[in-house]
Amino acid sequence: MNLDYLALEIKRIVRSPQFALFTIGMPLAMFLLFGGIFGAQEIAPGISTATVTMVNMAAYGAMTAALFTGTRVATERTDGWQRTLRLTPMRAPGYLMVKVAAGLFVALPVLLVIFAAGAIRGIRLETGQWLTIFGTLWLGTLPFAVLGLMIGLFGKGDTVQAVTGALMLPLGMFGGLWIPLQVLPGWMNTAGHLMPTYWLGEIGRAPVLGGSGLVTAVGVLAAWLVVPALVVMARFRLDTARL
Amino acid sequence: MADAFSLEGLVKRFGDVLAVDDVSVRVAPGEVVALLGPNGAGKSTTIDMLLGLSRPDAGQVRVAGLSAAEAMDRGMVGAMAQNGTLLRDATVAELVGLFASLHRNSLPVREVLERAGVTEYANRRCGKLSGGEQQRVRFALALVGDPDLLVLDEPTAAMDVDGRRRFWASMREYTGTGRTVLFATHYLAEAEDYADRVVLMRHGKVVADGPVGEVRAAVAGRVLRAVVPEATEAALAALPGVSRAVLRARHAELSCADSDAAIRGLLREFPLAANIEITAVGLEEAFIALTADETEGALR
Repeated sequence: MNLDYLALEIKRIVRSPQFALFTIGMPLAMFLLFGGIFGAQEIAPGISTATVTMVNMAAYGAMTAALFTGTRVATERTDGWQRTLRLTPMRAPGYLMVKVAAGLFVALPVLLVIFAAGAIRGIRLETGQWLTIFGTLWLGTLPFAVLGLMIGLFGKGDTVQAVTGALMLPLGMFGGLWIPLQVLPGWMNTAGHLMPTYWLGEIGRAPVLGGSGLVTAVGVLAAWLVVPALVVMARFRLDTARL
Repeated sequence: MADAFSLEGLVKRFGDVLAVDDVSVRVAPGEVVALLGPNGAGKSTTIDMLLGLSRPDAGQVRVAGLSAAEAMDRGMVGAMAQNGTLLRDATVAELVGLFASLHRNSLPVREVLERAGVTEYANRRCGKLSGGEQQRVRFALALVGDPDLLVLDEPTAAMDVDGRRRFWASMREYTGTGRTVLFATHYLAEAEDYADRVVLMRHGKVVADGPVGEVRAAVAGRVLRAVVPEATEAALAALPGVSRAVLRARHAELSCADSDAAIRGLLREFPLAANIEITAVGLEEAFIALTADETEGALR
């Protein structure tokens, strides 16, 4: 993988105003708001609601960062940037790998900011717990980076952000990151269990809440990784033929 | 010596339109070749096939004996294609640096910025540059891989007069190092001033190919005007030395490669021809005459 390209990609995303305002700002604001209102309640012995909200918002923010990184591909294709790249030795696999890796890396500052806000608001966890949550959420972001890429390869530059925005709603809502799945009616609850966001939240909360079904979580997330990845590979072959 | 590149019998069709029709060109290393023709002549389509951006329907492209894609993978070709955009939110230096890292044998970024004349706005984002400035950045991107073959599609489009002059000055410097260059243009003057050889295209075909002087002799000619009763356009066009004939209400206008032969032929075939006038045409007009769309004449 071309590390200079990866570095430039990360720089471009992180310095865009949308990244600070939307990708980091929104989950941070929601954590401060909900964490502030319900934070003191205990969800389990010794575990405050604020802790769970922090993990959920960190998951939501990391997912957003990864997803939107992939969808930027649509804008680049519409603008003709891929055409410019084809006049270099860079080929599709290298380009796609940079995009996925960039999606993972830009999720890091989001996780750090939300966790820092949590620590400042008085959330105390063992070092091992912090690290485990951080690591699982970060790795769990991978399917979303690939999913974003898939959307980016199908979408048009001017509509893809709206489509992605619309997709965030069910992902966040049914995924139980904003409100617990238990309060939703039966069919929504069932639908929620198919969402990658639900399982991302599960593996993120597991270090504090404990949890069974980690195998299921990894399985569902893996499926959400493999299917978009196959679609991306098939699509990109078509795409280069057409360009 | 092996060809720097060769195009053999290239054909490209878009639906019913034959954009490139059996184009064959061989270029030796070190040649600076202008691909000249009006808009829609098939220049960009030909260049896209040379760069491997599109696949010919028939024919073959070889770059230093390799396929277009292989040559591109090895970084042997540097190119400015039309509509190849830059990243709006990246600075000039960042983009040139990126392209340097994508190539195995790249030139130092600072040197390329200097050579392309973009140093003064190296730290500005590409989205904030004018069209002409962006063209110069594209030139820097084409140069940075230190390519053996440089392919430029309408490199001075969107540049002002001064930008154009400075662009060609840096190009001269580059071609002085013996690299092969192919550039497409619809400015005859650019072809004349900067190319060793001109390949003239019209309606997807190569209509002239040779050293600048030779092509100039072929395109530059004289115009013979006369009132010719009882003539047909076809008969006039068939006269010796005539490359193109237009007849309107007995007023004939003959574009001549050899006006001496043409007037002898005219008086022999049409002794009643009167009000004869022969004028020399500028190179620009001759070029327009040679490459003008035929439907224009048909509509009149």
